[in-house]
Amino acid sequence: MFIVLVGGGKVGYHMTKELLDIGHEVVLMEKDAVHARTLKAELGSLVIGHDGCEGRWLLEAGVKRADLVLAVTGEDEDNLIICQLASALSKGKARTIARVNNPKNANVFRRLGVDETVSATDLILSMIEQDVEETGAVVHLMKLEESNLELVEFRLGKESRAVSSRLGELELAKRGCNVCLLIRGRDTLFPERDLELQSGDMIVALVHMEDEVEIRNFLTEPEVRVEMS
Amino acid sequence: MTAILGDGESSVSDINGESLYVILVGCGRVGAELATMLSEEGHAVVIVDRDAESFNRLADEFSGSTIHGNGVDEDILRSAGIERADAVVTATNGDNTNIMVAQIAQKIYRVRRVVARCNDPVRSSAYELLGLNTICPTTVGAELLHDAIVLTGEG
Repeated sequence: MFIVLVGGGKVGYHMTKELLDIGHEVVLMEKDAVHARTLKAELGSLVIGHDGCEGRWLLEAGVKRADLVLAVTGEDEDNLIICQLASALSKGKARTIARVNNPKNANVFRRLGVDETVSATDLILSMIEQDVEETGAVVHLMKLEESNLELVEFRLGKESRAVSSRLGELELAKRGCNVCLLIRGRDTLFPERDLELQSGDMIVALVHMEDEVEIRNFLTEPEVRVEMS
Repeated sequence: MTAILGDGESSVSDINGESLYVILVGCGRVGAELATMLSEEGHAVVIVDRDAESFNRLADEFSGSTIHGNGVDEDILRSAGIERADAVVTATNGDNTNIMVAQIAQKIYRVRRVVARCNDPVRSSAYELLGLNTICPTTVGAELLHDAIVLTGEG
């Protein structure tokens, strides 16, 4: 892919190196001339020392043939305008992703036409939530837009009825729970039917949103009474 | 942080004789001057700035309200009453801030009259591309100065 990255801070710098490593063509724009010179010394001519908020420099960076434009500056306003200009100048051809520093802005960005947003704040928050829910609960990994399906994690506590059962015996598919993989300690296991579940196992599954609570209860609660469904 | 909207005086009017509810973002010299002007005419004005000190620029005649906060923050704009605003003017010295606020007002809240201040004439094409109604004081100022020199006879 040909990627135009705007913002040569830490995120932009490391992102550029990673993207180059995996074989993409990258142009990095940094508006601060002094900082741009430092970047240029290391990364070479792919660095453009101009402001990506200006259409003429986006054009010079090649935005018209870009597959992807990433706006990762520290200013949300700038990231919004970069994505909007890129989209307009490429006549909608370039996919745009904006970093949002204030997670509240993600919603505004979407309503103003930015394809995707990434918020470090939100990502870190979701990891904290993951810690909080450590005790045998469910973690939302990803909501698959518009499909009503979610990729979730269930951790099996000691008391879970699923512990010591074979995966196949639980008939999870019948409950609308499609197990994708099983994580045990550092191992990732393929979800074979005769795999015996242990306390501490993490089941990663694709579920219908409305079934999630029921499946979580089924998987994490001890087997004390007959399951009503 | 509550907005106060006194009914203003009898002289109140825009070109159609209406009293307007105006949100101004940016209380720099231009913003403060405009806020006072509108307020004196009897319009209800709420002015937002992220620097509380900037409100010192407002003249004693200003009778609107002030909100200390970032104008690109939707919550701040809502507390300023954007849902019922007749007009939003963005007059900060950051062009991208002006563009973002103006778009929130125009495209999300459908405010009838939105005007964005453009500081750097180079950016005006960006404002245009995004469909914003723009005033560029830099260009206007230059034109006035130009006319003052070129069009005025020595008398």
